[in-house]
Amino acid sequence: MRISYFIVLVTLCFSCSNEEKNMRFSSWQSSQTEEKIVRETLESFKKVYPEVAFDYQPIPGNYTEKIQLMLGTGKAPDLFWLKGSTSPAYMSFNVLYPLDSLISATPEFDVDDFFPLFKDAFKYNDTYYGFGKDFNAYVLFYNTEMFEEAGLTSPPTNWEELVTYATKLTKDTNGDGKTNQFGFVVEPTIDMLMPFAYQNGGELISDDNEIKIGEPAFIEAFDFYINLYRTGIATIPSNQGAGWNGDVFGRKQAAMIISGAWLIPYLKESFPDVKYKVAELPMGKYKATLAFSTAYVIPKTTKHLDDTWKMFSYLAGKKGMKEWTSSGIALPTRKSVALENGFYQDSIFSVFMKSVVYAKLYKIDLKERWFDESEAAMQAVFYKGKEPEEVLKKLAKKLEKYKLN
Amino acid sequence: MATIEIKNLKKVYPGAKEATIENANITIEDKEFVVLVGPSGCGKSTLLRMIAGLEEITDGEIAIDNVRMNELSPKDRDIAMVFQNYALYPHMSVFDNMAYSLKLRKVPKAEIKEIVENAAKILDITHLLDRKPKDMSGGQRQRVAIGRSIVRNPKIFLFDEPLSNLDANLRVHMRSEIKKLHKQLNATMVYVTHDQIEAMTMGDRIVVLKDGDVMQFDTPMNLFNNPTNKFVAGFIGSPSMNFIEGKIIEENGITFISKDLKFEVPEDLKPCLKEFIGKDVTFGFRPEYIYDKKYEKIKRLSRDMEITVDSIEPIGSESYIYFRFNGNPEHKFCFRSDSQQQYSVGDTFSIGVDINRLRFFDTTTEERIF
Amino acid sequence: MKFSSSKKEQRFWAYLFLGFPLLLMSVFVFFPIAFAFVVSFYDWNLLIPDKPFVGLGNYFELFKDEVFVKAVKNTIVYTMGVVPVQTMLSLFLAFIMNQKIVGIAFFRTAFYIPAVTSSVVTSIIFVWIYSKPGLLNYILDTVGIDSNIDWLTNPSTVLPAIMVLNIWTTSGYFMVSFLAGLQSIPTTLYEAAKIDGANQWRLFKDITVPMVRPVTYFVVVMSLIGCFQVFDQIFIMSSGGPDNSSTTMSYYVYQNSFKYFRFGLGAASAVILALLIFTVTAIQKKYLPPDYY
Repeated sequence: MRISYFIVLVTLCFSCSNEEKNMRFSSWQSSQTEEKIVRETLESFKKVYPEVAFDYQPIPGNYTEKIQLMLGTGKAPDLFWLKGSTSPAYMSFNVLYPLDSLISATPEFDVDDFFPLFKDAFKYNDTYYGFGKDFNAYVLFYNTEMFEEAGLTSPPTNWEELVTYATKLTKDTNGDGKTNQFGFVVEPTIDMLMPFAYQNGGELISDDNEIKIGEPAFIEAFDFYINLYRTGIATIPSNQGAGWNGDVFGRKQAAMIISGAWLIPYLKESFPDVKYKVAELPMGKYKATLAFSTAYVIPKTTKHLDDTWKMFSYLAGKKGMKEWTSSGIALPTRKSVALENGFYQDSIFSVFMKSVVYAKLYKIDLKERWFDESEAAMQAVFYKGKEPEEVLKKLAKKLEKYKLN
Repeated sequence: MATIEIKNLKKVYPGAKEATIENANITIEDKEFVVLVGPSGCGKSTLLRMIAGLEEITDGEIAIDNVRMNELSPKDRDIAMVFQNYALYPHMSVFDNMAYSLKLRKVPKAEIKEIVENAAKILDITHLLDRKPKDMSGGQRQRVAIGRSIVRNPKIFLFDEPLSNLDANLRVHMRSEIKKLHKQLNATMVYVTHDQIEAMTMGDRIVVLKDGDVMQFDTPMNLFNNPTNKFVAGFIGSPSMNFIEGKIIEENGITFISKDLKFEVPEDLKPCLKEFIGKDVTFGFRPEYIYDKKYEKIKRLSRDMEITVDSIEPIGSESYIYFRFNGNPEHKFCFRSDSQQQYSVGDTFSIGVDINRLRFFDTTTEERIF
Repeated sequence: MKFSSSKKEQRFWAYLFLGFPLLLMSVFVFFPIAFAFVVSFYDWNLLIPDKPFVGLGNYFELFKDEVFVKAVKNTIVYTMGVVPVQTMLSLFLAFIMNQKIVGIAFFRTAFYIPAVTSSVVTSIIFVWIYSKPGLLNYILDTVGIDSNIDWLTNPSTVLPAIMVLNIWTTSGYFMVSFLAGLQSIPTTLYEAAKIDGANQWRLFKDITVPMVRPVTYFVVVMSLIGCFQVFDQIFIMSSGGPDNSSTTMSYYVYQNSFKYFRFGLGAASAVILALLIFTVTAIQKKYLPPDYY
């Protein structure tokens, strides 16, 4: 009896310690294609650095919660993906490894190769904590067949044109008395509103940490946005029984949509017969759009710093990023890679590259709860019929509580 | 007035191959106490429940006071029923149990109180009115169940084996209580039991049922003395009648032969049995009418029959002697003997059967010949 | 019974057998509950090593938080709406299922299937049913009612819509409990009552309902506890929206603990939820006890 106890104990100890041998890299899994490319890129990494022993452990669901728990219990992977929108919180908690010294020791990493917008995207208190593996941005997708039918030859370039074009494109195509083609489709989410706010000179929070969402510029943008819906030239996904605006566009229920490059493979797979073109967002007072990036980060508690940095600098470096973005699954945050992979030549991707110049990063330096409060505000306007001014002013007061410092 | 007329009654359960009640024709007179008796599965409860309206009638008619009852629900038939497991409402007090039917009829409260208290007095359960069923003994619960029926003042009382769950002493006591109640209330009562002694002691007339058929509907004494067939003969009386299967042959006049016995048929019986020469008949004789030839001198007995005692059951006032005929060691019979006679196992002696009490049955039809 | 082993030995084995489940329960049930209670007094962020003690600070913050107050209100409305309806419906369904009707086995299965289907699956299906071009509006349209709304994004219909879904899914489960209870009621009671003059309604009211009281108690308690903890449907169908019209207390706990990194606040709201459930169950035990006699 005693011997078996001993054997069990020893086995447990061994299995515990075994875990820490290799460095671990985790990502989420949003599609099979994505996972395939991740693995391919990792294979290439293996060829360059055969001495690095690693385990790739993708997390299929509840990514944020799992990472949070792993960080909290000291079992976080050595390298993982971090969404840009949640990064301010993580950086403020001081759980990520500062990369400055590693960068200066690795000149090939070439920090200045990143687009200015993305170079300091994951900087906090003047220290680098991560770099974007790729980026996406909001652009305008429009259905060329519907445009042709309505006698329109080019996409709208400003707010007035957006309205007139959308009006022309909103019609009842089958004579049942109900509109079944809308000019535009909007979503009652804060990130869809923000490009309009920026274009109007407004912002959610200023660089010196002041809440500006209750200011006239933002309110005006929201008024414009909600009126697109209220005047009937734009629909929302729930009215069409769709999960998101991409569905609405794919089903040819809307002629124009603001979305990112993720719409491209989605349409190809689910709605291949939609003929569309891509254009920069119509401008307001200014040109502006929203850019999203996911970073590679290293937790402070990593025990395999050298190996992890090797993988980090490869994947976020020129070679790794080149391979990752060559599949067209996402856009590169590095200037050199963009040039090399011909992104400026491609009819669709060039639009994204042009947008980078004036894009604003989707990264709000507030505590996590800012997002749900803002969503509640959007819902109040869209579903409860409240007015933007009243709602935004209230929201501004609430957001004061969620400042990071 | 409360007569019950059952005409050509038939009951077949859906999906059953045979009928549970087959062509029953019974007329129950006003104020009569009729017992339905028979072995398990004979259909007596089904018959009772059809009178109550708890079972659908497949064919035929039931009429109470010449009014057809087939389509009426139980509550419209003016009947009350006492169940084997009492079926008292466990969440109500005794008072409420008894008052329930009156409450449903919207009888005024004061009147309810009076009626219930009266019934309670009759059954001697006044001290139990506030109790719940779980706090009472079986006998008390049964009385409450009866009380619930009395309160209704129905035309007909139905009892479905009400005493089966009580112990032997209580059963005997309750039997006489119910009979007394019958006299007191002067109502028609239909009573189901599987116990033939209970049937014999309580019924004015008894319906003997077997496999859904009415075997005989008669007074207790008639059933005992003049059973119409072998089944009734064997069912009524305890210990039951002895049977010997055999044949009638022409020998020395008319002789009955069988494995156990062979004897010349007595003169009185010869006319009836003449037509059965060559046919199978069953000879029946009750334990009560067998006598030891040594001691019985008065009665007219049949010829000697030699027997050997197999076992003895002394029950106090008398003994049941189990014997076999010397010709056939396998077949056992019984006779009741005055316990003063001391027999032992293995004794051999002669017995005779009271000639007036001999019975013969047609083996094929089971009908009584004599 | 006399055992051959000594009393001491019996005691040893008794404790040993009790020990294992007790150990498991301590680790997975008792300890987490106690720990959550303790955490509620701290500002506990999993990612920050500094976890200062804040005493009742979290609790005060809860009651000042508009969203929490809404969550409590929603939870109470939800529970008060679902529990009575669910109990009565499942009893009623069980009563019908107990009759000899043709095709009863089919109905029994049909009503029970939602209870054994994953709540996630039924939620997703109902998201579609409740959507603007969904099945519900289609059915209402065919009977002449013009209702062109998305039931889940309308603040006044989102909570009732989820309540109806829950009533439908869990009634089947409780119906089975009631069915078992009903079948233990002796038929002779019904027969005696019929002879006494009771009609179907009276049979239901005077025999079925009182006799099934122990099951009713069980169903109400389980229903209460389940309703207070409702989470799955909120998470999948409405994410608490729109504008927190369908945020319930458990959803609030989830949001604060896993999205906003504030375990202390989440724990405090969980403690309050637990207290609420305890209180209601205690009140129920006092005024609606399970015995029927």
